[in-house]
Amino acid sequence: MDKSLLKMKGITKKFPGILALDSVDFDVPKGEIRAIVGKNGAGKSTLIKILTGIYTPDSGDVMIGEKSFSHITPDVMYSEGIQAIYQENDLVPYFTVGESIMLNNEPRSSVKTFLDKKSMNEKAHAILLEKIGIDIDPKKLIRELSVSEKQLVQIAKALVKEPRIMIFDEPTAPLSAKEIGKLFEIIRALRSSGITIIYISHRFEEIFEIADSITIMRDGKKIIDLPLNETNEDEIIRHMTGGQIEVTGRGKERKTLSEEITFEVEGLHSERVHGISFTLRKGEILGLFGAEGAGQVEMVRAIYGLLPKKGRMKLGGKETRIRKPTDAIKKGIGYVPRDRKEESLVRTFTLAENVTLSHLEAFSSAGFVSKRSEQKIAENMIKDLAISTRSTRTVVNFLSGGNQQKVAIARWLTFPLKMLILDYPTMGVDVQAKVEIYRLLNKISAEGTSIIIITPEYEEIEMLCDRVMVMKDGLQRAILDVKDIDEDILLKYAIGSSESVVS
Amino acid sequence: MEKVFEIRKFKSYITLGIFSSVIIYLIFASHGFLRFDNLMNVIISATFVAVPAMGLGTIMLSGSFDLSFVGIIGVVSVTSIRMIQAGIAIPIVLITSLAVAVGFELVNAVLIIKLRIHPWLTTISTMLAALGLEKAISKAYFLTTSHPFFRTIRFDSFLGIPLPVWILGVSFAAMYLLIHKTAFGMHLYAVGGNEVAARKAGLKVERLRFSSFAAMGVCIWVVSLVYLSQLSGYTPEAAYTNLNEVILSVFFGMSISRKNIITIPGAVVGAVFVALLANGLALSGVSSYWIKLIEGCLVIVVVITNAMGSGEIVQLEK
Repeated sequence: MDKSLLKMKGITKKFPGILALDSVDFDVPKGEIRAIVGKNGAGKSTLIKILTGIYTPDSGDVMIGEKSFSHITPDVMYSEGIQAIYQENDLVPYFTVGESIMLNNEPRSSVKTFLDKKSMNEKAHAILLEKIGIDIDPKKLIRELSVSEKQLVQIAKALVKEPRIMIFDEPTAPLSAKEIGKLFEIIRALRSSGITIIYISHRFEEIFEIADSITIMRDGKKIIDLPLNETNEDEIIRHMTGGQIEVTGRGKERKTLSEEITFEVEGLHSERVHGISFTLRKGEILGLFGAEGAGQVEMVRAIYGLLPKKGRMKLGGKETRIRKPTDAIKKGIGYVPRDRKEESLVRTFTLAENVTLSHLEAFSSAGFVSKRSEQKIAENMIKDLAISTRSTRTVVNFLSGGNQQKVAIARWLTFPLKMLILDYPTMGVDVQAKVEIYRLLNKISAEGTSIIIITPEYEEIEMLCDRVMVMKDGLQRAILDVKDIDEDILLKYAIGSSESVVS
Repeated sequence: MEKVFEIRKFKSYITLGIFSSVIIYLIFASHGFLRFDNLMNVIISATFVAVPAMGLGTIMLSGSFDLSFVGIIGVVSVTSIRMIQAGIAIPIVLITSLAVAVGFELVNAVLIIKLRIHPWLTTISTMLAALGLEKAISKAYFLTTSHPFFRTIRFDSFLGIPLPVWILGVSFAAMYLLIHKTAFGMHLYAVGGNEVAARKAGLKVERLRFSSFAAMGVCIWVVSLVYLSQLSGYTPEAAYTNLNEVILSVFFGMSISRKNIITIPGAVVGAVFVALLANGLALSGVSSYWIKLIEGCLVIVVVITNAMGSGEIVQLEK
């Protein structure tokens, strides 16, 4: 352990209401490939953002080699040779490959002021060929490259400065199987040249294939570091969930569902979504679970008409076509996006105006919005949903997160709704509001509206859902009855390798 | 994807094609368009637009914007004339006016970069302030000068080519080398293209953005001297009428560039095109009242080709 190249001690990071990292110690020996795993909200992404200088921790210190720092900044990353490769690349689209790789290490011509583009391209090409083993024309523009080529250019760019630590954040997500193989070869070569690698992924197959050791996070704490040749998937999952035994009686009071089918999807394909089929009964609450980016968001957006799609959908037994959100709304489908501020509410509108936004015709006569009926419905909503606000005329920007979410949901309760889709409905709301939102959703479903909820929290699935669909890499892995499962099973489906699910 | 790519490929030719055919038409429709002294006049009038367009292009390619230069040109002009009238020697006048021009732009830079105020808001305010200051100093009078320095610039020529044309040529060469041949220029592009990436590559992002404003200051200083010479003194709000043409030139240059980016040659070609257009239309007897309308319509054509090039329109259809 004394050979650790990177040593972080007592890293703590608080956000309003959340202790995201609780005195985390993290260290990696030189020349090792270390994977980091954790459920959503375990503190994994906060740790990565601290590692890459995006967040400043509240306390803790960092040792890189012999030098100590209070925290990592972009300057520290640059001077100490820490390089991060992200899923979304940070390249300038209209730069050439050569310019991108040699940025800030440009060779100069004999007159020192000017660039030597020829030698710049030659050097970039040499790095690509020798260190990455790929032949890309350095004169090509970045925007002309494929996703995987862009990633390789980023790695080449990182290698110009001879880094000591490289962080790969979900690097394989956009790659094909063959490209992943290639990437792993490169990463192994980097390790043998003495570079320490931190590898973040939620795919167990990859972690077991590439990493030497694994750090497991849970509830903002580091639980344990394990060498990968001494552990297995089950043990890792147990550490991730804490092996909590289901607390009996806390789950949802299951009602018997009606046999009537409200909504049916067959062979749905869209961006990142491959062949989803399911049925949703009247008043049923279906959870959508999976790692971030497994295709859940794209799936509901495709259904709601925000993404182009292929496949058949039936609403109330009849074939239906939804090409844009207005089609969906007309047919009685509502959608509450994750990002309240950007996608759901008009921040400068009042509470009442936000409630009636999707259904203004109902509150208008002769083309003019009747402010009186708008006020009336908004007042009813405030009462029904226990929204705490000074008046219906309060601008939503001034409401708390939980109350904003209630307003976003209230919008869909002003007219008969067949189906409501919610994306992370309790993200960033306090416990009290959470409970109220659960109660509200249960009430809506009892009245016959079917609900689809994307949620990262097992607890929410347990409390709310009748069934849960688990997605991985855009595929539907299973549809499970919530009363038959626990968190370990759910996680196994969501992130485990294919073999582990068969059992 | 392929469709977008196709349009992008031909986009620069579309813009150039449209403008070239307009120019070819003008050659036939107007008298004396191709005469040497007319072409020199066109380039001199293009200088008023091209020099600030190079500065604006530099600011824009590093990710910001500036409207205030038209006001600053006025302030620099009027202070120079006042100093000359007070009998101050030319070298001191030149140094002081350069300091005024760069200083004003650095005020913009502080507001935009340090205080993070939106560039439009910042520079519209500083433009108003500069126009106000200009008026306060000049009391809206025309201030003429017959100082030999400005007369030389206006009436002399070198190797048969008028001095203002040389000024444009030299500033173009300097800006071209700075932006397209040095690491500094490449770093400006990196800052404008992806600030996060630039920071991670260890670039001094703030310093780079400050220097783009300083470069604009120098361009303002140069063009102010040309204004003073060509107009034989100070004319109130002379640069203000060229604001639109300067912005147009930068975008025009962008739409004819292969990579669809702002370039120094592009901005100058744009300025020369605008000047050729105005001159040719005037010579072919089009009323000056119509010239702006025609220019405006051509701007829209440029903007549409630009949008096609970046794929915006194609995406909207989907």
